[in-house]
Amino acid sequence: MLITSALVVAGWGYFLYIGVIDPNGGINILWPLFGIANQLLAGIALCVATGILVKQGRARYAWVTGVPLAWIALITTTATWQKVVSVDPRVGFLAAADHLASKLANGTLPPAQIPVAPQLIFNQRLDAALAIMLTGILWIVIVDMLRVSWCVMNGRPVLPSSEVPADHQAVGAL
Amino acid sequence: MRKLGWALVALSGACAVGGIALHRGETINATWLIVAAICVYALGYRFYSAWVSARVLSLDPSRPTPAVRINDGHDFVPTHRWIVFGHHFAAIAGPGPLIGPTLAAQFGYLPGTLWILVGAVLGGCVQDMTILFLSTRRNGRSLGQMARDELGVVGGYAAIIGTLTIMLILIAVLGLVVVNAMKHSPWATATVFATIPIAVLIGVYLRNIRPGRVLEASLIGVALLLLAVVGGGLINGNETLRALVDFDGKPLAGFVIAYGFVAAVLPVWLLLAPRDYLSTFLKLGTIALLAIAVVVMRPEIHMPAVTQFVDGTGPIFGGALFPFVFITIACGAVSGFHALVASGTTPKLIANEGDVRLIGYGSMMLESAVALMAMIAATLLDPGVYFAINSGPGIVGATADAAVTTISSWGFSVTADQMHTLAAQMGETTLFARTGGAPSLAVGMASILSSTFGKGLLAIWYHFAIMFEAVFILTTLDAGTRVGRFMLQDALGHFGSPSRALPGTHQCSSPAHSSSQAGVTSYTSE
Repeated sequence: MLITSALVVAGWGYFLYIGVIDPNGGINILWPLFGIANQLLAGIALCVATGILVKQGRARYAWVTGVPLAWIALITTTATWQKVVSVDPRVGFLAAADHLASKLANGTLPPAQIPVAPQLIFNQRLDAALAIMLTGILWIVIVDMLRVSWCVMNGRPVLPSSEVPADHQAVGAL
Repeated sequence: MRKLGWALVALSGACAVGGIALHRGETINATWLIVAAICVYALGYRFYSAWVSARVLSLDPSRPTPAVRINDGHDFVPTHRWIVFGHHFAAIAGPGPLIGPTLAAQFGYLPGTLWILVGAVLGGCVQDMTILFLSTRRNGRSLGQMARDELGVVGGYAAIIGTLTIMLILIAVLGLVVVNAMKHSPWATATVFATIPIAVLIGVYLRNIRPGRVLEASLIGVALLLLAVVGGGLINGNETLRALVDFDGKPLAGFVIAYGFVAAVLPVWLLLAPRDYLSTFLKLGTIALLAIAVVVMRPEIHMPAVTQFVDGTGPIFGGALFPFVFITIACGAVSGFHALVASGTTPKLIANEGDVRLIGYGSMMLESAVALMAMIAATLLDPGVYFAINSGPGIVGATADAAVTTISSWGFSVTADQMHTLAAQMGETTLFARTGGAPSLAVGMASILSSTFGKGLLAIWYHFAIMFEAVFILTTLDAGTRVGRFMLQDALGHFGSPSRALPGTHQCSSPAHSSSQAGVTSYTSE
């Protein structure tokens, strides 16, 4: 318990520390990452919901969760794309890392920032990798959901529903 | 007659939304936003949620819920719908819906407000309700398990890894918000520190002094918290004491990290559960006060509808309106974390499947309303002041003069004197570059609350708002670390069988049983 707690605390503590030493206040790096992560989790939840609706033979209502899912997938993928490839150091994680690295190399960085610069550079790259990984996970789940839906529509076998059958008897037991 | 009434609601909603969208004056009254919101929520709840629950989900009130069938008196307990509503709302509403809109206000009040309304009614509320329904039909299984059971191994693993990573990022961001609010603010630091012994005291009170008296203990706790706010002011006024609690960011980060570790290995009843009660009462009370104050005060919004920063050059965070307004608002419109609560403790408490609509859709609607209030609190500040508080020194310049010059050059006039006076009124030494959203939200809340409930108490209300946010966030750090630990143990030890229940809801048992439930789900409070 102590070890796993320490691991978890170390995990978030690391990001917290990096945020604190960031001269731009930290939040401008971390909040977008947080927003992307939170919306990606919503995407995963909407995938599960859409997949189950299709499995239960309600494909014609699948848009109720499918449309929000499409929107979430669009905004998170666009945001990740921009955070990774943008050449504007204020937006792109990698551009920010390169920008800082070049300033460090040609000595134009304020002296106070020099000791923390390598960590900030590494962290920006880590953030880019995390955003890509999480978006990749969402797309894996989306593809899995589409596969299951395709199987249902074409009469292929899928996992049985995990819904607990109605047990109206149980009311008497209350 | 009833149809006529709803037609009127639709008409006034359309007028209000059209009004705020097309209005191009100097200021706009916040009442427009509130009327628009009330109409959108009323229509969304009355028609869309009714249609989704009847046609898409086919809620069946006669079908026994897991709470009724299993009723083990521990995790599965049939509970009154309004109590479940309170539990669920307290668990989903954290600092996220307060901070996201505060930051997104850099684009102006309009984009964020529209997304808060539309995103919630068509996206977030539907997500929460659907996941709650699906989990209720599956004995309260977690999201990861449902992904594994219904989609397959790939979806299941992906969901588990994603959830753990997301949790770490979430906690770090919230920790940063607290650290930034306490940095070189002796009053805020003293108040936040004081919340810890207060929570422990309430924990001991509930366990050993008067077991089970939750309401009584919470009232005492809230009174002590208010005293801590005033006490922080006294410490701030005393030179020697003041120096003791004046810290830079790094030691505060060290403190928050050490606190997170210690709190997560202590028993739940000692710190987590009592603080969870306190934060629930504080949350409901403060939100009610804010709502009353906004309605009574009818503040003017000074932020433009849309600012020039939609092009991506914003000082608070970089990135254009699309997609970043949707990413930043996060929890106030659509939030994945709610799916964890909706597939956590809540489905195990629902006594009637028909309640899923009120609890799933209704709680999220209320959360969206909280986000809207945060948007109002941020946009009623002078835009210059708002940008001065929220922009980091790396962007606007490290000195007050440099910052006001940069911000004024954007067309948002602000002076160093103005900032100095405001900081003095709030009992702070400076309000420049107090990033993270909490300080500017606190300034906004303080000006709303003090104008209605006690003029001249700005400094007290400011630190009350900081304490209010810190209490939730510390609870989230603690509970989030616990749940992260369970997930990690699960992922490491049982990676072959992810269908095993994600614990969290089972392993923290405390004497006051429901406290562990309330406590553990609050990890999802963003």
